[in-house]
Amino acid sequence: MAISSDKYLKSHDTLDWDALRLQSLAPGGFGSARTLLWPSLLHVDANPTQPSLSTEDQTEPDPHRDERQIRLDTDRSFVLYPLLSHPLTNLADDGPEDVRLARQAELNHLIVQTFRRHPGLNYFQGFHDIATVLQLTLPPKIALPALEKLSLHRLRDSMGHTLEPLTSLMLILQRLLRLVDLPYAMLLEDALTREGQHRHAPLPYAALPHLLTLFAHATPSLPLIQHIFDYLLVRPPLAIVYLVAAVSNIIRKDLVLKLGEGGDGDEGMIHSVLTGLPEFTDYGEDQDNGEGYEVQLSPEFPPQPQNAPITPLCLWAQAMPCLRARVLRMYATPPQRQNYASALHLLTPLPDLFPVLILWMALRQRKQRLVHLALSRIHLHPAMKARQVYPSLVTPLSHRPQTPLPPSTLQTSHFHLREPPHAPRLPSAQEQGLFSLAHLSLPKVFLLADELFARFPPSTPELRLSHTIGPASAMQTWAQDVALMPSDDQAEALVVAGTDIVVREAPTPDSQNRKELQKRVKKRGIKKARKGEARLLVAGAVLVLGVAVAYGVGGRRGGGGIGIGGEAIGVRCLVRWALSGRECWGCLVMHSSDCEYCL
Amino acid sequence: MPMPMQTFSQELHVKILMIGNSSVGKSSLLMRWSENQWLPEDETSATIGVEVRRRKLDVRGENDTAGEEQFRTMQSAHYRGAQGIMLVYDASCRQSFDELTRWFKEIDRYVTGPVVKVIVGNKVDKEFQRQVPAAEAAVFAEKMGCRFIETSAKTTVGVRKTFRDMVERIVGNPELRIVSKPSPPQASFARPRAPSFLNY
Repeated sequence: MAISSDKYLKSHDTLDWDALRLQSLAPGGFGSARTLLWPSLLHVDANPTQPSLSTEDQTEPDPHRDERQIRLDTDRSFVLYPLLSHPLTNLADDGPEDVRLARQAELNHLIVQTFRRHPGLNYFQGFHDIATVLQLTLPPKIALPALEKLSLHRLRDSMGHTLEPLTSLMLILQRLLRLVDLPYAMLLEDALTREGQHRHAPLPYAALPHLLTLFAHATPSLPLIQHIFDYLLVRPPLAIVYLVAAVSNIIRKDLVLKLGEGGDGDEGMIHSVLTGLPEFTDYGEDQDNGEGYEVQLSPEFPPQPQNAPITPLCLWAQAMPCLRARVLRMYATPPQRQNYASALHLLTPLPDLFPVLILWMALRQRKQRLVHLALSRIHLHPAMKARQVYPSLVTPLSHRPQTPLPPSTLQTSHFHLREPPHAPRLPSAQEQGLFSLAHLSLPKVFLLADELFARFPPSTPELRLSHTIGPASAMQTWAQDVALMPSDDQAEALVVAGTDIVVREAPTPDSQNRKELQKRVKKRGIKKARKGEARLLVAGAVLVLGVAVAYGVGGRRGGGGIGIGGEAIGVRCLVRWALSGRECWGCLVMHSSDCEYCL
Repeated sequence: MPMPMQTFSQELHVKILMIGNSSVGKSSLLMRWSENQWLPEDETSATIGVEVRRRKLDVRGENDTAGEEQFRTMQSAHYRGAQGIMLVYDASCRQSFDELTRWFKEIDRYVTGPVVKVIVGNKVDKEFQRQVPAAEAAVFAEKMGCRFIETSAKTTVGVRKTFRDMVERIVGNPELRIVSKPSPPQASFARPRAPSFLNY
């Protein structure tokens, strides 16, 4: 990785925060330089005067009251992140269970030490998720002071006697969501209200785990969460609110599209939104195209003897040993929608392959919702779109009445793929609109979050920040310049005092505003989903075609074809194509004879 | 289904809340019930905030909350509108049973209307590590005026009965306001219990 931390040091000690902020947006974030950068960003003293761990063990501080809870949580940790791929581990020779236990013990020690050193802090569930990220990123000696600084100066609002300060954050988030996109915000709030959970101005509770754990609880892989931390640590603590808002706003498209499926009545819409919320929290992370990923083949690859009963999924799992366990777990999971979403999650390290496989399975099982979900994750190659085959071929495959494409309301597409060498012609606007489905990449989310921050900075009157968050909150005391921040002891004292963190407002104007806001929304209307739905159906049909042709390739070429349930599929072609990136879409669809991946 | 028959154009929405100490198996019970699945301990992680699961036909709207102390202030909002509350403890952990009284206080604080309460002793598969005799829990439940049932999310013992019981009692209780609203015809059908989507 090319990023050097030196580049961001203006002088001896001063970090170039602006340059770092820029770098954090790029795919891969800080890369390996984060090992050095995070401690600096957290203002960890480079020459610690504090006693190191080993010497401190002799004068062990008193146990912390939360250690039982910490133990309960660390015993349930390391479920998500691959254990063996971490460079700092020297335990690779042991079995995965031993490694897990060793890691859990390390994590427990790290957290317990933090709280013993700062007895004023209270543990919260989810803190262990954050600590895990530091533990897996930083050398052990740095991880402890880094976690202390992180706790005292960024997380301490959540470490008081109650989690009430989080309510403030959710209020800010709610106001931000309304500022960004009022109809969407109202839609979500309505959904919650009708469910009977909250009768007045429901708070975005779905965002709670993200706000609390800085996405560490739900992010499925270490490189992703490291990049998210790159982004957050180089910005004020409040950036998490903007990031959550950006994520939920990008999800919007998916949600609103799904609204179209559920039937005509409001009931269908509401239900879809509600069930969409778990997906909404799940969708927060996506494949980042950067250097973070190591896609490695296991030594036994390619493993399959000819004619062995092999499924695309187990092939994929064999290609990605570190994810195999998770795939197996998925395997045992019944087809609930959340699981589809998390299945799609698993795909993110391998761009586009897994959505295609999921799509393939969904089509076989005629699971329409799953088809839609998979589709939303697939980028189509322009070459495929350019092929003017679908109008004639859609009908026999889809058995659906044709929905004419709306001619005038098409969006511009966001393709950033390379054009194939022999691109037949540029796709028409109509075709682009047909396939322009959202692809959620971290850099894209970050850019949006930054844009939101620029458009609606914390000083925006509508956010009512100073009426919600008190001067003792970490949101207010954090500063880029360490000299302007409270000391560690002062920060701990603020937690213990517990005052001036939350500003209690008179009856919330938010709920009073609601009816008025709802009226405004009704005037504008939010039923844009219908058109999107029509497009999705056609897209689905076209993909049926694409996959069907792909089978044809395998069958014809023999070589890598493996029987699956009586059908021949060009598995080798499919996998090589997938591992090669997206360039081979054209050949997958058009089985061009000069594609190197098909040979 | 044991639920009183509804007309096809209606469905009942029932909200059941599960509370109890950390790590007693609330999420596992929910998982077992909603997806008939059980994950071994090393594959589950702590719930942050609230998890919501829905299951059609029988019941809809199921909240599983984080057990840790600090989340409780956040949870007042989730108590609102709940018609049923399951107080879960771990039969192999004395403390989780003793602290049920604190959870009852919590309910008193946040729940104003009538609500169906059930005490659920989970993890009875760990018979040899049992620390709470069933008889003792039954006496306690009677004192608190609620039902008691023992379950194991691992072996499925009692899980379906617990939820079915809860729904029956909620539906059978005229004091509880149950949201029933018209819905499109297709929503009246349960999602087919198809095999895993990877099974083909």
